[in-house]
Amino acid sequence: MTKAAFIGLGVMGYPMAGHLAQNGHDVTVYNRTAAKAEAWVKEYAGEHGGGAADTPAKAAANAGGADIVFSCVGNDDDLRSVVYGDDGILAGMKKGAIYCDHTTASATVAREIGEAAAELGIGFLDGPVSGGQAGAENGALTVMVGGDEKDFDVIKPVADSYGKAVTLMGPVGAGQLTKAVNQICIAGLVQGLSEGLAFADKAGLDANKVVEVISKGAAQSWQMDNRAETMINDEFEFGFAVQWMRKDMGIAMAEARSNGALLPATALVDQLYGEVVAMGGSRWDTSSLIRLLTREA
Amino acid sequence: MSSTKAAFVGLGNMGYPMAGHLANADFDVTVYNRTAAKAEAWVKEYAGASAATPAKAAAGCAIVMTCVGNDDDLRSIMLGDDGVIAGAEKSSLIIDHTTASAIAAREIAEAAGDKGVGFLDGPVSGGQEGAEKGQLTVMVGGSEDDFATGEAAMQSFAKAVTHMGPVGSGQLTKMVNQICCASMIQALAEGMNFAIKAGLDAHQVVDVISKGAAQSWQMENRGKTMVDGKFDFGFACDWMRKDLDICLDEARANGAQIPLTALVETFYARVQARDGDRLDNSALYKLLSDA
Repeated sequence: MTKAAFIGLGVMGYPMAGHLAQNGHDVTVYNRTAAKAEAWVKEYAGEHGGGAADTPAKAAANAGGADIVFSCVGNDDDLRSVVYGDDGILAGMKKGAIYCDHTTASATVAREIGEAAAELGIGFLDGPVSGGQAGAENGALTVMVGGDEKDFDVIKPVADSYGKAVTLMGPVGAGQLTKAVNQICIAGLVQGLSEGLAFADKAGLDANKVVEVISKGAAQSWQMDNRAETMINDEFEFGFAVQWMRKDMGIAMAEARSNGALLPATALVDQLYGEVVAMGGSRWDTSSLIRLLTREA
Repeated sequence: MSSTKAAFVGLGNMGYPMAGHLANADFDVTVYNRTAAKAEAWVKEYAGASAATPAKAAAGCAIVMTCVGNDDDLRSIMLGDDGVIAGAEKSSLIIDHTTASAIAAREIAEAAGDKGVGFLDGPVSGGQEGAEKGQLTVMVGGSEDDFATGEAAMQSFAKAVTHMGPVGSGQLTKMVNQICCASMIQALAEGMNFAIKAGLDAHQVVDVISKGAAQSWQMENRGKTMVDGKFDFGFACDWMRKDLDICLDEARANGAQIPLTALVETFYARVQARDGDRLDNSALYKLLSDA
């Protein structure tokens, strides 16, 4: 059993913290909106403990101090607001403990927090996840981790509670950079799929039948297998929201500006997502790019 | 039962093994190839016959298959006194496996129809390896009756033969395939190059992210080779660009918008100008890594 804290009980954090408790860890939670923390305690508190604290610092300091603190919040700014200051995670953590952040954020903020943690004798790991809400609920997330191997070895068996693959990618920031690669690969791919399906419709083909045939070969993708049918049916009220995708792409493009990587297709698709937002689609699934091609001109 | 007489016109990387599978499936095959030496090699290997013109190859056959380079090549073997249609028997069936335009498919179907000859457009995917192993995917356009007539012959080199709709539908389906591939390969190239510039182990990145929503056939089969600079294999950039140009022409006609496909087509043009035509279509990566 590990004494742990979990900061941020959104659609990802809530079930992730739940898996920790169900795997026998003593988890203290914090959430900006207290009602969610109360609901979580009601659902998961048990023989191994499980309580809520009213600041991130108190959650991290609870009962002599957590051995591992996890967090999963919205973006760089949210992250800084729960990490720093008198009420922040770092203020409450004990020396020698490890802090692992699951937010998809910039590598820059990861390195910055890594440094601040190191000055306090705290280990830091950036560990963004993929697999979405379903992966969080089923405990089947992919976790891409940056940081020191000795810290990674400590958190891995605990993170396995909600991860099907927890992999150390390199030093602090490497987890965020790997997640950025993931999102770059998805953006252009989803646009290509959108263009293909919209073309199929204009060409008078049975798009479902086309997908059945071409998904056996070089055009196959997870997105084609899992989103083509819903795209054809114009269903977007589920999945990974456009506003989150845009946030992630903004991080990738900012990083590319500093590391010199060219992202022409990614940049174009980011602009197209901007148009989807203008259509009112910030909460639609990322596959809603096709709506730009199928809307009445 | 005597075997069905068939012809195969065009013995390139794809046609040569396809005609071989047809012969092994007990069709009585006569071949034609522009460069006669290849036809001779084929006859030696598969014990069929060769003819001096497409028309002569087609004469007396129930089924005539073709697989050449592009619309122009296709018209040159189909039309004219020496062309397939001139030699084809009434009520026989032409099946074209070239990746060509839907316009050329409809045009040739009409010319064949005027002579009472059936026509199917049946572009394939699966590459040279798929052709050699008899594991191609064939996307077919044409009438139900013609499809029923030609299906067994196509099965000899395919793992999947699907009737997609009227003449042209095979080509249109192949276009959807190429549209999906082009943007995906560019996105993969951007991701892999970003990984290198970010100081990551790109092979490890592929191993991790190919388990989730970024997974694709291209990632699993080209992610590591592009990072390793291996491009002397696979599906050549000039063929991909030809296919994308067909897509862009068709999209102009049917009103489909394909903005990213159009952008990636210009990248293929740059790869061709810088590095030549023959590199695998994953060489889009070089434009980023060499920048």
